[in-house]
Amino acid sequence: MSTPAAAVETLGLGKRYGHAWALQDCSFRLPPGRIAGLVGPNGAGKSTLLRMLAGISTPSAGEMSVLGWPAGTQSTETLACIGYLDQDRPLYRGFRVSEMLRFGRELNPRWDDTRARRHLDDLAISPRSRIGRLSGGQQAQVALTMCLAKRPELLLLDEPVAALDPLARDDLMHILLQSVVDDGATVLLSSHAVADLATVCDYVIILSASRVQLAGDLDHVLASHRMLLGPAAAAPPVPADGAVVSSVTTGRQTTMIVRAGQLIAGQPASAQPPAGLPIADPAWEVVEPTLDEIVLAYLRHRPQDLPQRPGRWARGAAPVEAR
Amino acid sequence: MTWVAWRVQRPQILAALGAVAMLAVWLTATGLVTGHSPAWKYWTDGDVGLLYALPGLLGLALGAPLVAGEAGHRTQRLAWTQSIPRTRWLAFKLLMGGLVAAGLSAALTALLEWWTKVVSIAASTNSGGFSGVRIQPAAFDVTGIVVVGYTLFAFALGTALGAVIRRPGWAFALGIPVFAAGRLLVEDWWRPHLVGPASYASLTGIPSKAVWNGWLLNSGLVPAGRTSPVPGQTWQASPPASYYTCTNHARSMAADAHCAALAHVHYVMQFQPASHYWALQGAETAIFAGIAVLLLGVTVIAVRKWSS
Amino acid sequence: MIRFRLDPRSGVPAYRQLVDQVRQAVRLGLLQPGDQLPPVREVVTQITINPNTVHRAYRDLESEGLVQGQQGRGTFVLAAPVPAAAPEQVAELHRELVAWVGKARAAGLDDEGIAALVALSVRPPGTSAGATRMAETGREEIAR
Repeated sequence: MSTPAAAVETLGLGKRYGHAWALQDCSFRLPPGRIAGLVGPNGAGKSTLLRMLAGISTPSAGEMSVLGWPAGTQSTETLACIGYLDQDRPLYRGFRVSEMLRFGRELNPRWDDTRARRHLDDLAISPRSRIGRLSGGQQAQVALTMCLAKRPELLLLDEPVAALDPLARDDLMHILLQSVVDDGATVLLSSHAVADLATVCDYVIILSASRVQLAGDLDHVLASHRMLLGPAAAAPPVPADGAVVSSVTTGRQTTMIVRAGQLIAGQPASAQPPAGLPIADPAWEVVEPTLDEIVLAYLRHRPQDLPQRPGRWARGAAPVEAR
Repeated sequence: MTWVAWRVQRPQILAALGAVAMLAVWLTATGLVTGHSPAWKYWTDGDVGLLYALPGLLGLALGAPLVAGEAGHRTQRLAWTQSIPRTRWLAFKLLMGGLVAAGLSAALTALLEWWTKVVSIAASTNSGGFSGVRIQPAAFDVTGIVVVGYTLFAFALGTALGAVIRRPGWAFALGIPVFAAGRLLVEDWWRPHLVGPASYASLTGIPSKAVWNGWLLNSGLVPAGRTSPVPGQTWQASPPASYYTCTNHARSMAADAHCAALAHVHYVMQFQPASHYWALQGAETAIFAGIAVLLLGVTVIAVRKWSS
Repeated sequence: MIRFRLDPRSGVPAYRQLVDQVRQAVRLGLLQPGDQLPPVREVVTQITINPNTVHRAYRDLESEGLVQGQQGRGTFVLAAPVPAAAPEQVAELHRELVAWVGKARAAGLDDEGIAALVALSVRPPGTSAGATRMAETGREEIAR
């Protein structure tokens, strides 16, 4: 297989359960070799997206390609290249750890048993243990080990570190990152704790209200957003092609996150010009926001808040009451 | 994958094996005791009838959790993201479960061949007991190859219901009435006509040895020269009034026969003779095997479409 | 071999933190020419960091001429960017500075005043390079 231009590409992808859309109009393009963070609140559609990419859920709308293969290709070849960690970390509870590994060995031609055993050895998880008797953290480690031992080209990990204690979280991330170095795999991992992602990810997809709010290179995302602090009454000095992502007024001060250029969801980040953001208004203090602050701003903002044409946002766009 | 199919289904397979083993011990014990001292127990059709439920319970117990059991801890999400296409995964599981169901039911039916014989010899000294006539439903349903057919039908029914409703308990519970209904429908409406029945006519209404050793379907007084009722009439249709006037005064069987001859009617007994046993066994097994294949098709479609 | 740390709350980009730590280690003589930087695979077992970020930091250091990557062997320290003082000398200088800070405090200077004096002394007379350079590099990063 030749290296595809994108590890994952989706166009207008959507999933409907009954009348409710769990995910709608989702478009993004993840270049290979990246570690992408999929962030958003619970119920934003993160798991739905990952399940569709893993091939266990059928999209209701749109298209997707995974490692260059079109959606829903259920061949041995496609499946062997994808490592999927479900949110529930499903494992056969009556199995011993060694039986779980044999399960992986029997079902995966590229299975790396040495790696699996080394990981579990490092984590002091005995192959004799019953899965059902392991702690939640150990089960998560076994589930991740099952993923990594496939030596996949794409890892889809749904909340891999959720509900883990800091030590287990650290161990798990290190094992994951080590495998990424060894295999050069692309990773798409979801989390609702942005702090986990800041140093690990180099690509970020923000999902909220069943839609992609932002998808792009972490560097570009950071460079194209600014936090403005200024008087509540004044009009913010937002560049003509920019937009206010969120605005919070506390007493006389307004804090807003603004975005330069058209770094719109679905647009490849590399196509974006680096945003200069020449904001020169003495009334406003300009600060570079952290990823945390940017993510929060997008989670606060509602889709209709972003203007279609420049100029309309000028005053009081997306006001959010300070709590 | 063979190991995986075996390991995942091991609890159900072992439970089924245990249940069949316990039953085998019971059958062997009662068979030996009855054979040694026939007076020990008087076996009726009803006693043997309890065994009818066995293929259904066995098949459903193996089939219902086959796919639906994965949904409990969502392990299908693990299985379907390994490097094996879903349909191949399913094929291995169905093959494993199906072979176990067929194997256990075949073993069971082999034991029942012996047991029904022993028990019927003991009962035959009493009237009304379990006759052991193999063409009659009481024995037919627990001997030969139909037991394997019923078990496979129940197994496929369990997997299909499980794949559609995704809950093993519900699939099992719903499977029992469906299995029972399917069995009764075929036995009452289809089996009598699977092979053309034989008829025996007499003026006295005393069955021949062939009728005695066959499965009596219908009997009644029909006009002389016919082997079935006049079209539009049932087997219970009344003969001419002159026949009853005559038999009211008849004091012997010969007199009865004379009355029938005078009224131009005779007794006809429609029955499946013992010689049709294997033809009926084969046809009915084929019917249930066919239904099982259709149900397995439903399972495959449901699993392919399963979006979690 | 150097062991990296990462402060996610500092606001400084992770790769910048790695670059700074290598520079600091070279400056303090903890890393000598010929020493190997930890392989990326090892770095990610110490700190939770994107391997691409480590690659990027090593590339930056390489383009500065501080280290050199050798195909298949690893990344090695080439030479100190400034003549590295001997560790004993550094310790001696540190002691003197601590003594000086004590004197400044006794004279009534607050921390800000001390920092301003230090900055003034570090900057060579008549130029704007030197001490301000580091700060500017940081700002350039923000602007990028």
